[in-house]
Amino acid sequence: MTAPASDLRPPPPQGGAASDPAEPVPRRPLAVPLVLRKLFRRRIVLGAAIVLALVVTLAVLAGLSGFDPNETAVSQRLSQPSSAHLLGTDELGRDLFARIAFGGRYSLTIALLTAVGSVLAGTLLGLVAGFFRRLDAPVMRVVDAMMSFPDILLAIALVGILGPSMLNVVLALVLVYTPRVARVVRASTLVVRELLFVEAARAVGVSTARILWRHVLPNLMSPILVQASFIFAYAILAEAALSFLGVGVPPEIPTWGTMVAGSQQYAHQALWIVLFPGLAIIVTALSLQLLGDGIRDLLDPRLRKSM
Amino acid sequence: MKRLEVRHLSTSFDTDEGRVQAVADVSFAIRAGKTTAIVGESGSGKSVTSLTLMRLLPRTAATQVSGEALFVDRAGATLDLLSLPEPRMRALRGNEVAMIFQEPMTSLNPVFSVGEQIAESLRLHKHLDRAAARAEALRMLELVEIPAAAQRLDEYPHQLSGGMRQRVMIALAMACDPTLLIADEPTTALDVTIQAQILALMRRLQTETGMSILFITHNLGVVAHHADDVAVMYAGRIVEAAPVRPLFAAPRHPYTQGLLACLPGKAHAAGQPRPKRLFAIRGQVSSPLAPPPGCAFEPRCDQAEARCTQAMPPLVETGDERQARCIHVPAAEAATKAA
Repeated sequence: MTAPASDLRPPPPQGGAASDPAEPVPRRPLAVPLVLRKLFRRRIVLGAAIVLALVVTLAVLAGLSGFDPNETAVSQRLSQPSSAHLLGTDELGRDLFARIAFGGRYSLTIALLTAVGSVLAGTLLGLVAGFFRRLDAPVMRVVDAMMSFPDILLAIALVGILGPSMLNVVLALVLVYTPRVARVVRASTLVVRELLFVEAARAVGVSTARILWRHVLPNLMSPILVQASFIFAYAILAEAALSFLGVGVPPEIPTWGTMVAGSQQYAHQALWIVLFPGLAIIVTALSLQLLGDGIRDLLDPRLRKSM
Repeated sequence: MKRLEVRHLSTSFDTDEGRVQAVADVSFAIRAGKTTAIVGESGSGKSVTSLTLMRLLPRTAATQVSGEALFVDRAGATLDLLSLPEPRMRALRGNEVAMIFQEPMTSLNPVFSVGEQIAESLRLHKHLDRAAARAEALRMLELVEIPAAAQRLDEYPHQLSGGMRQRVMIALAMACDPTLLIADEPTTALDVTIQAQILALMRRLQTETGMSILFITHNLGVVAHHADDVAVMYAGRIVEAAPVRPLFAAPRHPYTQGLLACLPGKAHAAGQPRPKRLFAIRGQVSSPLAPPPGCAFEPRCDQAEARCTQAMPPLVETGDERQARCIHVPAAEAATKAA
C-alpha cells in the first residue's frame, strides 16, 4: 500500500525539514470523517466493516437479481463447489451461493429488527427506571426476572407459544434482549441524571420530558450504540440457533439457520452444505462483534480525551 | 423595593441516620438591583438555601421545606416561590429567576454547542424561532465578552476553558433578562485572575439590567467588594446579617469576628494588632445529626460561657438594620457599643 503511494511523489529530500510539515495538508486523498478514521485505525475493525459491507451488499443484490433460491435441480444435487455452482448445491440441487445471499437478507433483517426493537424498548424502560426513582424498583425487578431465564430457552418458549414465523422470532428475540439494553441504559441514566447540566437545564426551566429527551438521551448514545451492535450479532446467532432447533423461522424461508438445520443430515456426504451457511453466521456475527468492540473503544470516555 | 423576601425558610432532609436540618429559620431580603451575599463555610446550608429557593432540590430526598419566599416579578406581582405550582415555577426559572453554578466544567451539556444551549432557554421562555434564538444567543455571548463569539457559538463545551464556560453559563442565565440571579459560588472553581473578570462582568451586567443578585460564597474578599447586604450562615442558621460596610467594620457575632480574623490582612485593618500567625477558628462544624443543645457555634467559640449551652439564642435586631444571634450581643443597645 505504501509503495504505490510513494511513487506519486518525489522521495523527500534528506533533511528537508521545511517540506515535511506542509506535506500532509495539500494531499488528503479522501475526506473521511475523523470519527471513522479513528474507528478504522485498528485494522481488524476496518476488516470487520469491509466484511459486513460485503455481506450486506450480497444480501441486497440477491433480492435485485431475480434469482430464485428455491429453484431445485435434482440432477445436480449435492454437487461440489464448481464454476457453475460457486459454493456447490444442497440436497435438492439448490444453488448454495444464492441461498446464502438470500438467507443473508432474512437473517440480517431479523437481526436488524431485533436490534432496533430491543434498543427502542430497552432504552425507554432504562431511561424511565433510571430517571424516576419510584419506577426504578418495579421496572428493574421485572427486567431481572426476565433476565433470569436463559436467553435461548426463553426465546424457544416464546416462539413455541406464538408459533414459528419471522415476525414471532423477532418479537421473541426483542423480548429476550430488551432487559439487557434496559440495564445498561438505566445504569448510564443514573450517572447522567446526577450531572450538573441536568440541574442547570432544570434551572433554566426545561420540563422533565424535555430534559429526558434533549439532555439525558443524547448523552446515552454511546452505550446504546454499542449495545445495538452487540445485539445485532447475538440476534444472528440466536436466530440461527432457533431455526436449527426448529422453533425459528419456518423451514421454507431460507435463513442461515434453516439452511444448516435442513442440511445437517447430509453433512457427512457434502460438508459444504453446512459449512458455508455456518461460516456465513460465524463471519457475520464475529464482524459485528469486532465492529461493536471498535465502537465501544472509540466512545469509551477514558479514551475520548484524546479526540 | 425588595425583589425577594425570604421568611423563616427551613429545609430538612430525611436520611438513614435521621432527620438533618440543613436550613433553619432563615430570613433575609434582596433589594431590587442590589446584591445580597450569603456567607458561610461548607455545610452551613447556603447552597441548600439557593436550591430551595429555585425548588431544585432532588425530589428523591425526603425533603421538607417550610417558610415563604416572596418574589416580586417583572409585572410587580408578589409570588411565593415555595408554594407556586410547578408549571408556573418552571416558567419563572431561567426567565425571571436564573441561576449559575459553581462548576462551569460540568454545568454545560457536552453534546450540544453552547449556542444551542443558550438558544434553548430563549426558545423556551421568549418563544423565539430557531434563527432569532441563534441571533440572540450570539448577542448574549458578545454581552459576556467572549472573543470571536460568532465562532464560539458553534463550539462545544469541551472546546472552551473554565473561564469561558462560566461566561457561557452567565450568558445562559442572562439570556431572558432575569430580575433575580442566584449565583452559587460562581467563581470558586476559577483561578484568581479569571475570578476578578467574571465578578466585574457580573457587576457590569447588574448595573446595565438592574437585576438583583443572591450571591452565595465563602469568599469574604469577594463579599466585601461585590455585596450590598450580607447574611452570615452557620450550621443552617443566620448568625449575623448586616449591610456590608458596617459588617466588615464591626462584626458582632463571634463567628463573623472569627471569619474576618482568618483573613490575613483584615484583622490589622480592623484596628487589631497584626497577627503573627494566621488565625483559624478551632474545631469544626458540629454534625447536623447531633447539634449542640444551645448555640450551634458554642463548641468553637472563644467567648462561650455556661449559659451558651442552654438554648439557641434568638436572632435579635441590634439596630442600624443589623441582626445577630448571640447572647453577648444585646438587642438594640448593641448599636452604641459597636462604635
